[in-house]
Amino acid sequence: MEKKEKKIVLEVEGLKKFYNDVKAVNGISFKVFEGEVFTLLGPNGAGKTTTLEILEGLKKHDEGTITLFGTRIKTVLPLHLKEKIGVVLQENNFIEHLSVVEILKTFRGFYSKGLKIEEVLEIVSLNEKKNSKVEKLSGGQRQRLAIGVALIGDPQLIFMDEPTTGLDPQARRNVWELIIKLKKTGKTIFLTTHYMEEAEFLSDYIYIMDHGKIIASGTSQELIASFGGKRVIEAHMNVDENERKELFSLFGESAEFEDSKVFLKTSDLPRTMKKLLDWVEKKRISLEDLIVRQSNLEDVFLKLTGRRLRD
Amino acid sequence: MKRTFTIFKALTLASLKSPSSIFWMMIFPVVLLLILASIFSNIQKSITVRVAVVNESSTFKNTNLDFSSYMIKALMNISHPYNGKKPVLSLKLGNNERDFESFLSDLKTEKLDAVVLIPKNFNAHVFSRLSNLPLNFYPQVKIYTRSNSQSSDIAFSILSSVISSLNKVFWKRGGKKFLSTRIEYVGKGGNTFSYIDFLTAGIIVMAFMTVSLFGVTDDLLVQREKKVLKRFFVSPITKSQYIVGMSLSNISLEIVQLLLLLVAGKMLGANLRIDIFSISFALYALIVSMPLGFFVASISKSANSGNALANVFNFLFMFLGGLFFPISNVPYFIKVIAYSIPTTYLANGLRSSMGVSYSATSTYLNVLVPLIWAIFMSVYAIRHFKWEVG
Repeated sequence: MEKKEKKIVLEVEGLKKFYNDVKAVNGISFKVFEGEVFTLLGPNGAGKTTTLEILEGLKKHDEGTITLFGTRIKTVLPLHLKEKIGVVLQENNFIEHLSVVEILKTFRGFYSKGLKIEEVLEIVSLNEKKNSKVEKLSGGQRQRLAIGVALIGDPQLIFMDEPTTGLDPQARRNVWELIIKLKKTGKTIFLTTHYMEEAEFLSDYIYIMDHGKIIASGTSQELIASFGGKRVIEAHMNVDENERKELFSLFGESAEFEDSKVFLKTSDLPRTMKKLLDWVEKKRISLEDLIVRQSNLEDVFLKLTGRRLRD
Repeated sequence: MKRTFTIFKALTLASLKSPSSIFWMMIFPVVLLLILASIFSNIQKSITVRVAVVNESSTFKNTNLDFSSYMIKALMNISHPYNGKKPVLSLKLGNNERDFESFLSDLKTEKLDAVVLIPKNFNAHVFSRLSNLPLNFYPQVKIYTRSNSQSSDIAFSILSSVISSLNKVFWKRGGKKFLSTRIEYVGKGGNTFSYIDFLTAGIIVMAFMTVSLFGVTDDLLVQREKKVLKRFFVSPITKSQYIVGMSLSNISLEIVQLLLLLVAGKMLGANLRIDIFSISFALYALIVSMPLGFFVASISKSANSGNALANVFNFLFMFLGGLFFPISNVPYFIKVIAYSIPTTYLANGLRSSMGVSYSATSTYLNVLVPLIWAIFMSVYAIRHFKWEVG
């Protein structure tokens, strides 16, 4: 209900991009609302980056419509719209030998209006490194510079293509905090990721993408709820084919196997756990590494595709 | 305009902060000039080539139709000291077979660098050609030189220029006023051949070519591979703005190079004429060299292959373009290549405009051939360059 009152920043309808026989993007549709963090979640090769590059004006689409800030995009993204967007690419490199400040000044020169260099340095916490050459920056610092460059024109919409891939956990956390900070300032953020924790932590709305198609969408709570259970029991057990069938008949669709690992999703943890332990005791099967955890987007993806996000 | 200037500023700053760029663009050409000038210091000094002319032509002696005497006068004009400098050639004269044999013997023993034989029927043949008589007479002058002799090569080059110019005058003016062209054969700024003059102009062309080949290729291929270009083009800047900014950056660096080389050349004793014509031609050479880098970038799949190709073009254009040594006496097949490539014409044009030496090719060709190359390479690059890898 609340979404309907918000302004649509980006609307995509039936978007397609083919490379010969490969359907990289196969008829996807979505809307991005002002001020939200919108996430395309999917494994590598799902078509997320291709989608993003079409929206950023780097690639042409074969079919479908794109409406950005109320303007229908045909092939090339006009400069006045480029002024309204910021982009963090998957791989961010800059002209070598220039310092952080010089890089920011260069990109600031492309925009008719935007933020001051000092403001951006403050936002991305690179004040201490402002005179360092880009090649001397760590991965996390370089990524923060990339975000700074994306912010320099004070964009309304920021595209971020897997902004934390390859970063260590601390650097990843820093980028997450930065994204939350940007969201608080009213920026709309279009994110792609294959990290379900990232999508869950940052997103207002998630579209799960696989093989060029959107296979599910909603808030993370909605998606997890659609999965069929709030918690998951995980354990390793050595069972033969008959025992596996018996387990399926006992737990129905809530049971899944991945090699010797069983996953039981449940909304009634004590009851499901008792049922499992009774069956194990009766069958004299050993249980190892038993854990109980909250359901997550990984479970949703596994349920939808039979594969894990990181596969 | 602001965006173009921003790119220009960023790329220029990056080049000036890059030690390898500074070395290859600024220091290397000056060092090369210094090294070559030192190694070939014997021809760096003004040299005088020794030429003997045997005039066996007997018809029309002491008349206006004695064309052989005009040729000898033209050669005598450049065998006198000029502005206090040594003459470009010293001349001995003979008029019979015995003189000819004696001169040939001197040539073999390196007492002479070239012998010119004007045959008996020369005047008659020239007259029949000028009068359009229906006779198959072709006036011919024979030049004898030593093989593998640099001074003989230089003598041959000078004599060829004189004869070639006389030919033009014979056909155009009917032989009446051809003496007025005599000074053109020995260069416009002085009448001596100086290797340092020759070399400085050649290295200027080399420097332009190097910046284009390696600078432009690097700006396009390396930046494409590292996705720096991609990063630019998701910002409000167009590809043409990037190209113009990048070209302006390279041009500004080349202008600095030009100044450095002119100063270095002067310090090494080069006598180059710097005026509106020579500067204009230098700027022209600089601009038409630029598409070479775009072309190499457009036929290369990666930065590595681009670098390899740039080296191939660099060697080919550098050594066959007569940038370091005259190519007037190279084997025929090399000459064919040499006169097909733009650097030959750019070097000829620049030397001619700087008064270094008479250009073996006309000003028209010196402008036109590099321009055709530049247009072809630009069109090819525009059509085939891929802005993204893959």
